[in-house]
Amino acid sequence: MTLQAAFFSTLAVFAGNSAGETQDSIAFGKDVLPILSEHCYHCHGPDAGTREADLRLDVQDDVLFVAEPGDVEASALMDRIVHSNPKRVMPPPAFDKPLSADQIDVLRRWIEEGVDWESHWAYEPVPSFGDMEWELDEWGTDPLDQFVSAEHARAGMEPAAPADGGTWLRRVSLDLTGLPPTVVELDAFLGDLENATDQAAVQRVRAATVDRLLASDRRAEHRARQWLDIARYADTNGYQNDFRRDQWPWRDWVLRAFAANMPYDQFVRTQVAGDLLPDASQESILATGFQRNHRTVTEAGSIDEEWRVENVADRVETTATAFMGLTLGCARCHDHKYDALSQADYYRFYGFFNSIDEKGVYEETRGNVPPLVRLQTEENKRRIEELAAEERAATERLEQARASAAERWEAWRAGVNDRVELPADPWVRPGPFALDSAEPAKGRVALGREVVFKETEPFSVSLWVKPESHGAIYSRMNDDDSYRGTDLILLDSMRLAVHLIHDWPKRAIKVVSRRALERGRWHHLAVTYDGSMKADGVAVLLNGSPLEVDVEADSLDGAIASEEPLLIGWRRYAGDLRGTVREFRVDASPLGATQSTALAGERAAAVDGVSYYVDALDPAVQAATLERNEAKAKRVHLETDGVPTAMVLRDRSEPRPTFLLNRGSYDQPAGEPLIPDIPAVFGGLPEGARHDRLGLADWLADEQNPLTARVAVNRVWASFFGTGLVATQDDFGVRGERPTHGGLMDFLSAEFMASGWDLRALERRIVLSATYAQSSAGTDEARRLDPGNRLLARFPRLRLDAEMIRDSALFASGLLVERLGGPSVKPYQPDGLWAELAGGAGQGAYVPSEGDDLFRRSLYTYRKRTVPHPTLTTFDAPGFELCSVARSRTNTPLQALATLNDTTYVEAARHLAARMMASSDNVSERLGLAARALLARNLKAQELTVLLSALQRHQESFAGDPAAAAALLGVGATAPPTEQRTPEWAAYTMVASTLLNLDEALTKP
Amino acid sequence: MNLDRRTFLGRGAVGLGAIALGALEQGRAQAGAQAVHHAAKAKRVIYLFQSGAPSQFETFDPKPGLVSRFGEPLPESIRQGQRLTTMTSGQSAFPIAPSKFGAAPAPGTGALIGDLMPYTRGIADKLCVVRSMVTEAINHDPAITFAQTGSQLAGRPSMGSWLSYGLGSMNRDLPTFVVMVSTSGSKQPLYARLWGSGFLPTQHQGVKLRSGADPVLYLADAPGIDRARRRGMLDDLSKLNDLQPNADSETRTRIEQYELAYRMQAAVPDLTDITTESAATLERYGPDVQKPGSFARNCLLARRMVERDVRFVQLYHMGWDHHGNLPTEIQKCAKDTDQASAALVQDLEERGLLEDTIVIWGGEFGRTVYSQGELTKENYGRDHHPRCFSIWLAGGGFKPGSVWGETDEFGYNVVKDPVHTHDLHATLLHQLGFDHERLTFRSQGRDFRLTDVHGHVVTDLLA
Repeated sequence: MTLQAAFFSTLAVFAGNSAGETQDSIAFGKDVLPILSEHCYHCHGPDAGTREADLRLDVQDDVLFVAEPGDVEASALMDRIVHSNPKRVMPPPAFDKPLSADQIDVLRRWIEEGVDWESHWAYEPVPSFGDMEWELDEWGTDPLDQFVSAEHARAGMEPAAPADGGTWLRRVSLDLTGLPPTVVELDAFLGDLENATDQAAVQRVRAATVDRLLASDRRAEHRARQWLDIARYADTNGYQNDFRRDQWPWRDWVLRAFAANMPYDQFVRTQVAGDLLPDASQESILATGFQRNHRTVTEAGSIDEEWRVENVADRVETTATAFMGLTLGCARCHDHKYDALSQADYYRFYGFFNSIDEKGVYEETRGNVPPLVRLQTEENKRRIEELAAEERAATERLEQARASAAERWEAWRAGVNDRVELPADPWVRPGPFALDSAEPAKGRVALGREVVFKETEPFSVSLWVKPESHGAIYSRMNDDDSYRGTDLILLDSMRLAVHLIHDWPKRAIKVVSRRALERGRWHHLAVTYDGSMKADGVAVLLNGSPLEVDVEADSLDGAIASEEPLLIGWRRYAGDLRGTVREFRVDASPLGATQSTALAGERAAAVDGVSYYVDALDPAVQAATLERNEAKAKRVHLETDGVPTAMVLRDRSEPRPTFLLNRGSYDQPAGEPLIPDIPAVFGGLPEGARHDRLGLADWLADEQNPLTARVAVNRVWASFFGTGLVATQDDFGVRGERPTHGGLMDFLSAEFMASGWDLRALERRIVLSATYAQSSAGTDEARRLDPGNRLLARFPRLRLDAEMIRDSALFASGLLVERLGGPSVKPYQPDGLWAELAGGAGQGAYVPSEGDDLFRRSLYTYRKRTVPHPTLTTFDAPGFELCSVARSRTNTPLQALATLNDTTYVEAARHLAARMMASSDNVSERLGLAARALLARNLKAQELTVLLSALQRHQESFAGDPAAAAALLGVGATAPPTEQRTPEWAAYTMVASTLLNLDEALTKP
Repeated sequence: MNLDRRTFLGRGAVGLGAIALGALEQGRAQAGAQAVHHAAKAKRVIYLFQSGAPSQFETFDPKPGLVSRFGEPLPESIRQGQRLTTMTSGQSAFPIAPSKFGAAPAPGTGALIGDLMPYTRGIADKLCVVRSMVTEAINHDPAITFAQTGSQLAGRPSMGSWLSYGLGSMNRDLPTFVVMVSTSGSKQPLYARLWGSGFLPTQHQGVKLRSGADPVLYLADAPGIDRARRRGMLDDLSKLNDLQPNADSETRTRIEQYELAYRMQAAVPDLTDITTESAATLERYGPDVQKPGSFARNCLLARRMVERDVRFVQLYHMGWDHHGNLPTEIQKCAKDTDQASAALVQDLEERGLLEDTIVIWGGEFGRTVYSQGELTKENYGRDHHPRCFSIWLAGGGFKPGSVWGETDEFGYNVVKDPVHTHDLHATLLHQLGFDHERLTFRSQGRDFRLTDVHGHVVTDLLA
């Protein structure tokens, strides 16, 4: 059989499968499987947990046990589904899903015809179409059209006439870039079309336009925006307080990937395992941010493992949906009800994502949470290496100093004889107090209420501390009563902070040291206070020397005495300290530097005092430490300050063992550890493959993977036609819909892979097809026969996506500011929306951007998950909490209110009005310009009549009410000065607003 | 999905969001209202959600017997090693903190109710108090999400969305599902997902009614556009849409949506204008009713909404998360909510609306009997506690003057007749005419329910 013949026989097979031709034979996948999966698999399907009678109707052997090919009478299956006894009949009446007479008939014929069986189409590799020479019919411009016209012919429909030039241009511009064509582009395109003498010339004109659009940054932005839905990308962490995160560098990676037309297999592979690639780079690691876009918990009190498990589950489900169209999430708690995906399959897959070096709960943490990648410039990276070398050298000197310090200690000790007078009657608790994290925290070292700190009385607190963490060194404070009291804490920066508080933050002193303490070393500290109720009356001494401090609060004017006891190593909201504290001493006067030094010396001079001396007092060690710290500070500064980060994947050095979790519950691991793998239905990873994310990435990006190309092709198709060839974009399983148009899905998938997974080429061939070029009007016959337009005998009219609606209005009015990438921006939003819900807990009020950032493409609009931007939500954008592959398209009054009254659209109308007025002195031409900018067409006479009369009415009305005109023209950040706000401009603004609200303006033609 | 939108527009009871959106939900839409499964007892719901989780001890499950056990450690036999939040799991002791406030039997029913709730106690004969609520999560975000959507995780439709999907709208110019928010000054946030539509079409999501000048977003016409100009503009728009070369049923729908928007511009201000309310009515809701955005005002607006046949009114009152300083803080919350909640029930009853309107009062979980942080005679705090909590229901066929379920003497575990959050959902759907196992929507190949794979109708709660 020649290839050409093979192709037509393929079509013939699909023709044979078409419904409505009763003499067709039954096809298992199309006719029988939907019945079995809907009515039978709940109890006789893949889920062992709910399986009845040990019978599986998703397995051919079992089916043949109850269905005798060609013999209905001998088939138990048929006996049971037509049984008259309600206790015997299947499905059981209680299941509430009875079979219709037609369905029973299908099953009967299926048995009569031999119990045809095939495995699920989507799990079979994409067939090869070879180097077939395609003979196109008169209508088609691409082989894909042959598949479409074959369906038309079978259904008795004619394709719609081609759309006119302006319509096609507007459609393809919106589809490829998310923006309408400019008037200049429109005129040039129509001019070129006029000069095209034959169909081939028309195709060349179209192809030139498509190539221009595909090469634009706008196209990268449009495609990236669609990918963000799937990637559940957002600018906040999504739970409870919904703190900010900065994941936009990952979003910019997506932009770069689309702009460079990165092959799709690479696009997938890099996002799944860019950190594990042999040639991993900062850029490839950044790509893995895809799998960190999930929400992260920061709510205090949450259980870490519970939420880490959710992170992993989110990655599993997103990966399965985004790349494979699999509803693997259904197998988390039990075997899948319909698809051959067991619960063990789920957890083996889960194993790929289970070893990320992450936490489940980042308690009350703002900003990005690790693992992170810092996005350094090359210059910075070089400088950092230099500083690291300096640091290493200083560290070496420090080690030498420490090694020789014992000798100096002996000498120093021998020389300590100065008697320094210390205050009498100190309150001393020598300790040592070991602060071990395993101990219950609060009250482990409670020193009672004997010591009372008063705001009007001087005091000193001295102590030795060897910290292993940040946290409170001591406190006598009630956090639940306005933080009244005093404390000394080590901030997470390991700098020291002292509070004296009556009512935080308004009536308090807070000073913070500029220097940070090192962990694992002894430090002698003294906090002194002179009773002045002033911050400059507070001093912090380290090893006898006063530290430089920053005053963060200086407004104490009331009592600081607290009913809480004096606690070592603990304060409720300051974190508990790990380490050791000793020689805790309180004096009733402020110690000076000499006294403090002497106190420090007491311990160091003791027989066992060498480590105290070396850590805190030896001059050589102190000097070398400073040098080392300076080099380190410079390096850290360069590494972190102002350097953006992104959240990415990084595995732990030791993988976490993965267990099946009973009922999906984090605290119910069961059985033996599982080895990460792909679902068994796909045969497991090939021999020799790595059983980690890279192994998964390689499998996903392999041409033998039956799903990756199909799912991608389907998504691109759906982005143009509204519905995929497989209508259930998120479900390629047995309950999903089967692809329309015969082998078109497979043909495009095969070609896509053969092209090197070239997305641009795929988009190009689809938009240059005759199928795509059809008018959306369609024949009456086609509308009657195919009201849902699944067979595409016309182009589907579809409302624009949320982002396209706003971007088009800004673009046509000249307001859109085009700038690729960067941090997210905050366009107009009604006041108070964040505050109402977040109560201020998250990050305060929404402060709109200024200047250009008000008018960037909606792709860049800040995405706060718990309070999404209202116009995005109103026009059906998802909440960016979970992977979303398809949006609904509703039609509601809230949408009408938005495009009528939102500042964005009122301001855009004014700018469009200004454009109209500047374009010509002729009123009709002015109106025509707006129509061409928004609709890519000229106005019809009747439309012009309506608009002229509207313009006149508004003009008269505003002439009599200049205040109203001024008010209307005063909307938005770019409002003109009052003297320019003429009734004429207001009238044009109303007309422009009318045009912006046209159904046609909101719809892809 | 090959449905002509016009067929739905012809259904009559079509309001915001009830417009069918055929091809859009991947060919699987189940547009408009679903057929109810049995005769409904209730048509509308007002959910007075007390966000942050009120303590059951100070409100509807008082334990006066604990006073003599002040400061005693909670017996391990009661705690049974159940998981705690990490805010108190490190505490070395779990001292019993009896309520600082008294309690008294309600007139008529004898149900013991805390002194912080005098107005509510006064109408206990109209309430069905459930003391045996049980939930799963121990932190706010998952627990509130669970209470509102039947799942701890994001992505499921909220209860109001299910009803919008299941029942459709009863009015022509107001939303089907309205959300209002008030606070006692809390910093505990809420999340838009709580009234989101999940995988249901987005027209089923709740519409937040705000207290400012623009109660519905973008409701007010832009400055300089008066009603006449707007009317004229919409007429022009309609004419032009009709002239559109490729106009289809979606175009027609859009024209109707613009008309509906125009009607809403009048109907919403009428709804929120309380000047027509009698002095006696206003007084009953308490002085806060004069403050826009207060819980009391929202209660009054809720009544005005159900009068106008809004299907589901969801109130949130933030502020009940009393980890510390409970005695002070809870008084504020009680004062902000007690009088108006009782007034709402009475007001509905007098207007004959209580019969087929369900009112629910309650939060996402309960609070611990032991003190979080230090316990003194004057001061204590309570941590999160999912093992038991109390709510009440009124109207819509729930049994008035009843108390259901029982907790142990420590108010820690349910000892009799537990009602899981899933059961509450199932029971609510039952009263609204649905078998909770059959009100489903297919997403990703699976038929989802509000009650997931759980839930039983608690017929004992029903009159």
